[in-house]
Amino acid sequence: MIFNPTDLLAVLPEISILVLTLLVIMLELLITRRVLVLQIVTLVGLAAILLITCFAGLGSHGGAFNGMIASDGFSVFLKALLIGVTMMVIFTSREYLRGSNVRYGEYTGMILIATCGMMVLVSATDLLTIFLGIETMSIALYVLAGIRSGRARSSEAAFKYFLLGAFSTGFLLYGMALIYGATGGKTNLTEIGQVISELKDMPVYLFAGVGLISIGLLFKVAAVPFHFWSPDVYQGSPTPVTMFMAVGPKAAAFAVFIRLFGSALSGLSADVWGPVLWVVAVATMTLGNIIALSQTNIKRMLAYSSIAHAGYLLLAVLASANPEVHVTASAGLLFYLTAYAFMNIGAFTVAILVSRSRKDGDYHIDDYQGIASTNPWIAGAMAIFMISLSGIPPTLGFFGKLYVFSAAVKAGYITLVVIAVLNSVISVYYYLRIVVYMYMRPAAEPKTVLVKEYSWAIVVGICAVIIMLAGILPNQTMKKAISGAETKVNPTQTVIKT
Amino acid sequence: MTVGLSWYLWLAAVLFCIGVAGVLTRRNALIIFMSIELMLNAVNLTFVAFSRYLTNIDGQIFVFFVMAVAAAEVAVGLAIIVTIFRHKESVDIDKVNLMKW
Repeated sequence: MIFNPTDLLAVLPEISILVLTLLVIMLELLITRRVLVLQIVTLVGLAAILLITCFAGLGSHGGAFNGMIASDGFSVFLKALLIGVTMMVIFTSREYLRGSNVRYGEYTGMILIATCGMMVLVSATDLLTIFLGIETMSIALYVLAGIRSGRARSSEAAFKYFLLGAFSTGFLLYGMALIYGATGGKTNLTEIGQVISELKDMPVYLFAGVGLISIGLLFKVAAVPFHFWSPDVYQGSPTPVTMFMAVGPKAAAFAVFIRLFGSALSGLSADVWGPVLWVVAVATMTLGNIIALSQTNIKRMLAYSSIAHAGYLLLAVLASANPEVHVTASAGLLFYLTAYAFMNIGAFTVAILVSRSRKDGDYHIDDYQGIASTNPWIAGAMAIFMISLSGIPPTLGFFGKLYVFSAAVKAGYITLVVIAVLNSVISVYYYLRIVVYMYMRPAAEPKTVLVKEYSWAIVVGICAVIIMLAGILPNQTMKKAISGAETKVNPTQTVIKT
Repeated sequence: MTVGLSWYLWLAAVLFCIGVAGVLTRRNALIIFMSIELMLNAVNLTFVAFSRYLTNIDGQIFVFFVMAVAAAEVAVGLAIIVTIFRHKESVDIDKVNLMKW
């Protein structure tokens, strides 16, 4: 147990994000309250951190801080994705928050702290760092959900998110405590994996611990039956926060899921959590898709759609417990999360654009009628997002599903994949309904003419281009994902530096 | 008769269940909040008991982190409850019902 100064390099992105947070908060407090300046400082800072993350060779560090943090290719890939997501969220937020009483520096600071938590989470290889990452992320998100405190809905969203989030944290922690005890005082994931593989007779509270920890994580990814908070919170939160919440925490929580269940607890897959997660995955995608069919609010529809996507992603977690497909499944997960991030950010930004074009700022799906005739570009982009979300080729969403499902088939989950494909077919109905509204229905009078706001249009454009380009050339993204997954710290491969 | 590890584990499990029951049955946000704290303290007790039994210090360090994070959570949570009270003049969770299905 010695402190190695080069370990600090492994957490360089997190440290930089925290410095940037303090800088932005102090800048607003002491120097200028001009939103444009704050936004430019944040975006330039994030771009620099993105460059550091991608090109400073952080992926080769493996374990740092005595195995608390892993700076491997897997975490670097997700960190880069999370920084990209944060940049787009911050870029869309300025215009959205204009005229509200929200202090921009505080808001940006909270987003950055949540991002920092997620970045710790994707590289966490110890129960303690997992806990700290989850809490750093969640506490900042509770604040963000309720940041428009003058609005009853925003406060209500924060309230529900907070109470249920804190409740689930209790389960997560109790699970960690029991695993700590059952493995004879181990908190490191690699060590836990080794101890479990050598354990002769498993104490009952090890199973209880695995169950409790999975409840905590399933809550964070909004899987059935722990999904009740998500539609309300998504609807009530300010929309840029909603898209941040829909993408970031899900990516981070699935990274933990695959590190914990796919690696450390993979020895217990067959007879402890495998069957349970199988049922949860089926329930999550089926219920998410079926309830999404009847939604008339676009934010709630996207909330249920993201529940369904969590169900598909659970396939990758299940498959990753099989050591032979572990790398394929992890790479599939990374690819899927990338696709999911861009599709959702694009769709939510269009939702902002459409809602802001109405006087009352509502999010009803009828508003999409006839948009194609007035705003063909935005309608085209929204069509791309919807097609990608439903998983039709040649979009990024299709390849995401392809990689995850094929990993699941290789791991032998044929029935589950059949159910997942059937679910994708159901989901086509409600995704394409938006496309049909936009292209085939006449616009309701008075016609919805979308506001001209360059920042939202740019984000929509970037997402649409990435989805189409990467959909045509999925190999490049997949190569990155595979190389990331290959270097992932894995109990069967790594020896920790001590 | 000695007080062994299992005594502490059972006590913690009972405390945790009381906390869960409190969250699920009570309607006052502050009481729910207190029940959540009870759950976290049950966790702390489990950690400390294991830590002593296994003579491994990691569990006690974990408890410090849990307490620090719980304090941060209390600060944010009470602020959120205050904003809800400003809107509803009440902290009854049945009255927090603007959004359903």
